[in-house]
Amino acid sequence: MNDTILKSITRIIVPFIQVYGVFIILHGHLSPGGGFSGGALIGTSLILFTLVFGVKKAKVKFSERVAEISGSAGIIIYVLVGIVGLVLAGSFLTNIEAGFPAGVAGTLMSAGMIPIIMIGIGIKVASTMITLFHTLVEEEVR
Amino acid sequence: MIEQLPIINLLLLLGTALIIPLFKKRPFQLSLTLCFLVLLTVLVSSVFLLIHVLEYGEFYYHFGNHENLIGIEFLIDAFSAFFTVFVAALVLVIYLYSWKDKTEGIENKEFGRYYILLFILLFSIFGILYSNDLFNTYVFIEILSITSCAIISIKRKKETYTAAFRYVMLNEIASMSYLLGVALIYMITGHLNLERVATSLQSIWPLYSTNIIIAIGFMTIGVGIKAAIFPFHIWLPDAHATAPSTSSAILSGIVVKIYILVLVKLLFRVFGMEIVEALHIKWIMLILGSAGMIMGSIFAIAQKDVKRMLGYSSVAQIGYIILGIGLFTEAGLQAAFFHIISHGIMKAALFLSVGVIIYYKHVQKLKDFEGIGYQMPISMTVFSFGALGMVGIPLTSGFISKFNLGIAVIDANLIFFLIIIILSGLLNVVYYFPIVISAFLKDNKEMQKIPHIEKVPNIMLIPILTLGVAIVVLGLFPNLIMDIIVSVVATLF
Amino acid sequence: MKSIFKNNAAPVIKRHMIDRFQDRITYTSSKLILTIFLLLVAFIGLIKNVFGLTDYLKNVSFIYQFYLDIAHFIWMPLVILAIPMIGGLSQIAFGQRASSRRDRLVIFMTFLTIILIMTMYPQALSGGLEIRFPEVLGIGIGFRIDMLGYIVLLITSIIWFLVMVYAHEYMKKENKSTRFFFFLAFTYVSVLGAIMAGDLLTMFLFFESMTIFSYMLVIHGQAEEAYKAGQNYIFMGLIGGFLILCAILLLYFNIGDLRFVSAITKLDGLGNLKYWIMGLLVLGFGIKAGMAPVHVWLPRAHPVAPTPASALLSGIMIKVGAFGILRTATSYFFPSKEAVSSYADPIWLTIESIGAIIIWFGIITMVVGVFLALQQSNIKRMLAYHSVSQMGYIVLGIGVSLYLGYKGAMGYSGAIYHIINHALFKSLLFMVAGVVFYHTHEADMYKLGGLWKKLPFTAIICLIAALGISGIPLFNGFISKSLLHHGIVEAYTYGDKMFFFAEILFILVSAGTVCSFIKMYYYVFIRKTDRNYDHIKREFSCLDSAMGLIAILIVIIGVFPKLLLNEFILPQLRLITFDPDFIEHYIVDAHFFTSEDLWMTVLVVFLGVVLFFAGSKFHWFHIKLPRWFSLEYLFFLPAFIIMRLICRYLRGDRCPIEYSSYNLLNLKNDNQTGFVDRFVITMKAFNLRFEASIIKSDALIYTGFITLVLLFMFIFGRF
Repeated sequence: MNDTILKSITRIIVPFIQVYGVFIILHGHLSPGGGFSGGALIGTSLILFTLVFGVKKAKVKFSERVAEISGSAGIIIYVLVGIVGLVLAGSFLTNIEAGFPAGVAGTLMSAGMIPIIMIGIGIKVASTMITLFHTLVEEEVR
Repeated sequence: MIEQLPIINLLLLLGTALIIPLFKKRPFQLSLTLCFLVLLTVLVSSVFLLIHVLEYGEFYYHFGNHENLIGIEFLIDAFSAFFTVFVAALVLVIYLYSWKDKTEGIENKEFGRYYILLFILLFSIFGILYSNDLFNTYVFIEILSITSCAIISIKRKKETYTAAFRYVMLNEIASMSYLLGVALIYMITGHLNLERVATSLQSIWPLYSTNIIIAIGFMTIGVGIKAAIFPFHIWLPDAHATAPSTSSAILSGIVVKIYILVLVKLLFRVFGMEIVEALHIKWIMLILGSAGMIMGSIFAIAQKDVKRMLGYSSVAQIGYIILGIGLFTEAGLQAAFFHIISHGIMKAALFLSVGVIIYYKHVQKLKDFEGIGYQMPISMTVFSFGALGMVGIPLTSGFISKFNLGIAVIDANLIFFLIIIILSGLLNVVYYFPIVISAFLKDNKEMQKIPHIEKVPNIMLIPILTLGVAIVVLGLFPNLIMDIIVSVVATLF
Repeated sequence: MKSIFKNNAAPVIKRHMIDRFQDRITYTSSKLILTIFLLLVAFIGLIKNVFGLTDYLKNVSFIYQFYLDIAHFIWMPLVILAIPMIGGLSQIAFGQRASSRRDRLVIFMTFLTIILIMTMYPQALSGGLEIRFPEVLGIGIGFRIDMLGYIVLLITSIIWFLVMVYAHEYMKKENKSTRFFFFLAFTYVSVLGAIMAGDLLTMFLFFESMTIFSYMLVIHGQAEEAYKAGQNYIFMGLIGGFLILCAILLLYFNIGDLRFVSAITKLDGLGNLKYWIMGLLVLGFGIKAGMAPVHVWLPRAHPVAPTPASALLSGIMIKVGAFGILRTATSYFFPSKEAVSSYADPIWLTIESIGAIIIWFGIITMVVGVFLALQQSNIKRMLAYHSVSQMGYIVLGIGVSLYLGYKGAMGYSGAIYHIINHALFKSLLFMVAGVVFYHTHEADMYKLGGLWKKLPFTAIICLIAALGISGIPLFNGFISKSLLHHGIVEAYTYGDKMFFFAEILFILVSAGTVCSFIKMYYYVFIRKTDRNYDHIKREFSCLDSAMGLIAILIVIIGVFPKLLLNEFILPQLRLITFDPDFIEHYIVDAHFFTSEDLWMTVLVVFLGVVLFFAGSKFHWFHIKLPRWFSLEYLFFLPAFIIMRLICRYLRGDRCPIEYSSYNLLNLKNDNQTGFVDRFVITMKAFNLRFEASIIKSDALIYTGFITLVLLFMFIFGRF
């Protein structure tokens, strides 16, 4: 779209949306939200960018290669954390017993592995959303 | 260490699905070999698990060491171990076949995607079989629906889109029904773990009967749509007509059966015999099963496309299985499980041999099958064995399952269904035999006089031969598997 | 073929002898046939201990050792099954190129089978050689050979061997003979297995495989009628198989053991179920045996199959059906020897009622067969109807033996004897028909004539066979028909007086058989005609040598009837629960050439001749039966009407099932669409109308069924 207002507003808003998304991801163990919703937010921000600025520019910012890598990275983080739990404590995805720092309940650095998993999930969801959207939009163009 | 095997299986499958895209730049053969090794490892570990469980009994796997009140639990008993072995073995054989199956419209660069989907599909199947938690099963069911839909519609043709769309729509309705049932059960019991739900339901059944009835109704029909039980089989023939042969074999041979196993778990472990008998679910299943047996064959007779015909034949055979389950006796369940195994093998053999014929001759309509028996003797022989098994001729495993089902039906004193079984066998003859006869006897006009062995790559012939041999071996020595099935059924009662 | 031994340095005398034979194989196979004949004579001699030879031989130590080895080699049934299988598979290697070697292999393998079967005699005599494989097929299969099975095995192998010799020459005029011999070998395996079966499941297994393999033989010609006949054949065969399967399931569930041992005590407690079981078994095996009303596949399958296949189909395979009825009835429904000692024991009541029904089935079959046979002009079709009629005799014999129960030994022996005799003369008759067809390419008897000049050897053979089937003394048919006649007389002496009508019909049918064969012989061989048969060459070929031995056997059995009776049938009778005094009194000292029987034969022949002359004069042999008289039409008429209605409703006026075939059915015209084809067309119409709409209305189906199921559970559930 060539609308100036949209472009300016988007340029300002997108970082805020992303920060909010990261906030939701990181506070998954403290407040409602977590990896899925936070990742959806980040994905939405990228979709907004694509809608306003066009697919080509969005692909410069977030190319297919990056999407693939981040998608795999998300799951790999999840699986690796689980395996750490498996190896150290005998069960997949074990939390405190595997030695993840428990911390004080209510603070950010607490609840063992959950923030780490949330980050992985967030990355994966965001990259999935943007990949799907790009595929759909490109189909139409073709 | 052996207790970690279930999760190692799952992680291996998931890991392979993740690693395949990384091998894009390398020669494709590398990723194929890697996949084969992973499948072999999974099969071996499943066999170990089965042996372990048969000797020492079942065990639980708690995720994160949380107890099952708040955590997710896997139950590994004879039931899950046995069927994971079956799935792993069958997928291994079908996987070997798919190495060369290139002319089905799957472009080369999509090949990697196909295997990613296949491995995630396998991952979700293992998850469903192991899981002991209602919502966890739902998650895996969703993954299975989506991957199986993707595996079917991987060809980029126009017909695939309609079929895939219908498949997705029906599956989503079914998943939603299942979720509604889960929600209702959670509402009244407050648990999601199968065993806790079962104990809780026993005590509150008189109080919340409406809830339980609606839950059972929706869950049964939801899973029934996915399992292609008679009136809900609508998506199956279209899906088969447009899918590559490998996917058809996996869909009809394995995926549909997994949903039947979910149904079995629900009815036997969650709701229990008391509720099931009070609500006369037996009659619903018996009627749906017999209707499926007859109507499936009736529709199959009229088909012109061989894959659609095989799809409707699957519907009929699933009717047999539902009939066996609907008897709610041990003999019935044993017959049904044996038929799950034997139909899986037979259907896979049929689809794979049809696939070879399509690969070689690029034909799919029934009337193009004339005289093919001389050009492709091995594939048509295996096809004939599969067809004979479907009809129920002795020496094939199909006969054994018919025999056991007949005994189970007589045991439950329902002779009427015995007549329906026989009738359905006769109907099967009407549409299978003409194909075999026209393939071997009628002369094709372009046929050469001297039969030559088909120029089909060996890697596609070996799985077909293995399946054909398996049909006959199971037909001669069914007790190899029946003994295990007896202990499997014992865990459900 | 003659060039093969021009290169051979055979001595002059031998070459002169060989020149008279058509080819080398004729010479070899004639030697083999002679060997078989001598072996048979020696075999019988050894059994009867002629001249004290057996005792002398037993004293020679290594022969005695050999004898002991044979007598204890229990795996012989498996070896016997394996040999034709190996032969069938290896003859593919020779194929069309080395056809004489292939035929030699086939002939040799059947020859070997005969010898191996002969060695099983000591074990069969002692009451049973039994092998079991407990884990196979779920509940285990097994083989058991007693004298009943042994007799049928022996005659099967001899006839199969001779038909193989015959087929060598005959198949020179057909193509794709490798495929033919392959499926013939596997049919042989199935037949042998079915006879040697020790329990019902094994018999069922081999029975089904026999149906499937013999289907390929019927369809061999690949003409349009062959496909239709084959379709009819395999459908009826599979329906029979399913009926037997039902009976197996019911038996297994209620009795727990399918072996052929007495189960009447448990069966009696089941009430009406035992009649259902027997009915299913009789119908199931009866379809294969050509019993009316389910005999309709027989007259269709025989004319289209090549002659060796027809000879075996009529000679052996339908006997397996009768064998099945006999085996199951006398094993499951007879009490064990110790349990009963008198005729009036109430345990016989079950089998009595079953026997009565089977007697009537047999009578109907006999009458239907002979009546329709008289109407035919195609030689093979006429012979097929005669097979139906003669199977009626056998079924009658089985029925009599069941009806009389404890005193049923006469009927039993009559049935077995007639199985042997019919196998011999019917295969011989088919071979004769095949020879006629081979030389003249004409299958209609009204178009032939005067062949005795060109084919004198064949004419003599045909005369022997016709005398055999008519029951003339000094030929084998006389013996079995007398036994059966005595059986019927006993039936109405000891039982219901109603069976007197059965005897009258028996005599009439025998007269009809005589008449029919007079007719055939006259029209084919004797009648003067202007047709020119100069192209027929008179060489001694395999066809003739094979037919020769069977004719000799027919005459020998006719002249020495006690041979078969005493050595083979009596031991079997003693094994089964028949009254020993009865056996001693009536069967051991049976006099066959009594004046009563001879006068009966004279009466039958007289009636037959009268019938023939009256029939030719009044044109009784060309009756145009009303169009609706066909059995199938009557049976399927409601189904046809319903299907036409459905079709018309679903597709409007353009229904593809045409009107004409439903109105007018011509017995000779096979152009109507059969039941299966109509069924397929109706299904297609059904599918066309409904499938697309079902697929489109998925949501409606879902909501409809959810509501139905929930309503069902709410209304009928008990909480």
